[in-house]
Amino acid sequence: MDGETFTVDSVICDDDVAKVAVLGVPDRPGIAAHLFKALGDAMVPVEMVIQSVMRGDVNDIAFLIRTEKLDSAIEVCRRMPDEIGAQGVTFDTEVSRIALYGQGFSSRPGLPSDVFSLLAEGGINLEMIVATPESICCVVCKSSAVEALSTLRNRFVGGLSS
Amino acid sequence: MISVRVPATSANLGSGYDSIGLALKFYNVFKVRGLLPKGKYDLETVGEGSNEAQDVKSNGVIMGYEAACAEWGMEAPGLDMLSLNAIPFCRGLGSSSSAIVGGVMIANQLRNDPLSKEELLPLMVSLEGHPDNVVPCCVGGMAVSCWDGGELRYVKLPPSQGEMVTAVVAVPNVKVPTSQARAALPSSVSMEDAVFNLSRSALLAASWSTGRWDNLSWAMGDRLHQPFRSKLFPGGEDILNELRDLPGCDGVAISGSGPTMVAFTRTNPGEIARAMCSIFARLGVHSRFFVLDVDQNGATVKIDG
Repeated sequence: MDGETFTVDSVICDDDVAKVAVLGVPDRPGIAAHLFKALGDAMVPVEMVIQSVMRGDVNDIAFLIRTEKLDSAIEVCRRMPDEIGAQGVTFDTEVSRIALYGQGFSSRPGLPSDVFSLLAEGGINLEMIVATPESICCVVCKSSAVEALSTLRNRFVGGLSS
Repeated sequence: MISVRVPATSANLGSGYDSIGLALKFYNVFKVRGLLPKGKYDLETVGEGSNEAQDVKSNGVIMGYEAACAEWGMEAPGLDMLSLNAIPFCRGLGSSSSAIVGGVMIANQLRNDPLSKEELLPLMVSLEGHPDNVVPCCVGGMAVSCWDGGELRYVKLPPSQGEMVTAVVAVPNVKVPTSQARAALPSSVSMEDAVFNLSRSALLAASWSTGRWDNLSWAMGDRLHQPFRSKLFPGGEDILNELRDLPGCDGVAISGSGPTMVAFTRTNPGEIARAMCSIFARLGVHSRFFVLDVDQNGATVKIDG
C-alpha cells in the first residue's frame, strides 16, 4: 500500500485547549460512562479521548477540553477520586493540539512515523496522539507549538504527496 | 490481596516548617498480590517514578515493610507487589512518605494482631526522619506534629464545619535535589525570625481548625525556609509574591521542599491555577496542576479475596 496517493490539506495549531488526565480509574463497566456523563451534564465537550492500556486493573483516561470550559471541568473532575475511586486528576493548560487533515492517510502506513520523526528531530515531545484515516492529531507543549506547526507545514502542505 | 491507598501530602506548610502538613485527595496504591520466599521481590510499578521504584534496594515501600518486620521481630516474606504511583516523584508532595506509610501498613496486615495507626506512627516517623508528611499521610487532614527523635506528639486538626478551602497544586517539570534544598537553609536564625514563625504557625493551626480563612495569607508567612528555597527553582519567588496579591487566593506556600507550589482558595481554583502555571511558563518551565480537596481518611487498607 505504501506509495499510494494521499494528500495533506492543512496543518493547524489549536492553542485553546487544556489536557485533563484522570489517573488510576478502576477497570469496571460504567466508570467511563459516569465520568463523561458528569462532564456532559456540566456542558463540557471533550475531544481526543484516550484510555491507556490497562495495567493492574486500572486505566488512565486523558482527553482535551476547550479552555473556556476549564472551570466547569475542574468542578466535575475533582469529585472523581470519591465518585469512581480514581487516584487523582491532573490538568495541563500549557499544551497545544497540532493536527494534519487530508485524505488517504490509511493508504500510507509510514505517515505517522514521518510526522513523529520530524517532530522528534526538533526535540518536540508528544503528550497525546490520535490518528484516523483523515487526520493525525498530536498534543505538544505550547512552547513547542510554533515550531511543530512550521515543521509539518513545510514538509507536508503544498499539494499531492506520495 | 492487600491493597493500601495512601494520600499525597503537602508539608513544611508555610510557617509550619517540619511540623505542619496536609493530606490531599491524590493517591498512590500499593497492591500485594502474593507472598514469596524471604528476600524475593517481584515488583511492578506503574506511573510516577517507575524506573526508580523498580530497584528493590531503594524502593521505599520495601524499606518500610522490611524495617517494620524487623522492628516487630517478624520474618518478612518476599512480596509480589504492584505499585500504582500517581503522586509526582521527588516534587514535594510526599511520595517517599507515601511509600514508607504503605510499606509499614502492609507489614502490619501480616501481624497476628495489627496495630493501630497511632501505634504505627512513631516507627513511620523514625524511618522518614521528620513527621510533617508521614503523620497526615497516615491519619489524614491537617496534622501538627512534634518529634524529638524518639517520642512523637501530634494532633490532627478537626475539619472546619463551615466553608472549606481547596488546594491548588502546581507541579513544574523540574526537580530540586533534597541535598540542595537542605543546604539552602541557614544554620541559625534570629530571635525576631523565630518569633515571626512561631506566631504565624500558631495562627495557621488555629485558623485552619476554626475556618478563619481570612488569616491564611498571614499564617503562611515564613522566614525559616521559603525565602531560601524559593530561589532554587524558576518561579518560586514570583509565585509567592504574585499569588499573595491575587484576588481569591487565601494563601500560598512551597509544598514540601519544592518545587511544587500550593495555593488555597474558596472561589475560583481554575483562575489560581492558570496564574501559577503562567508564571512557570513565562520562565520557560512546563507545569501541570491539580485541584485537590483535603483527604480526611489518611492511609486505608482493603483486603480482597
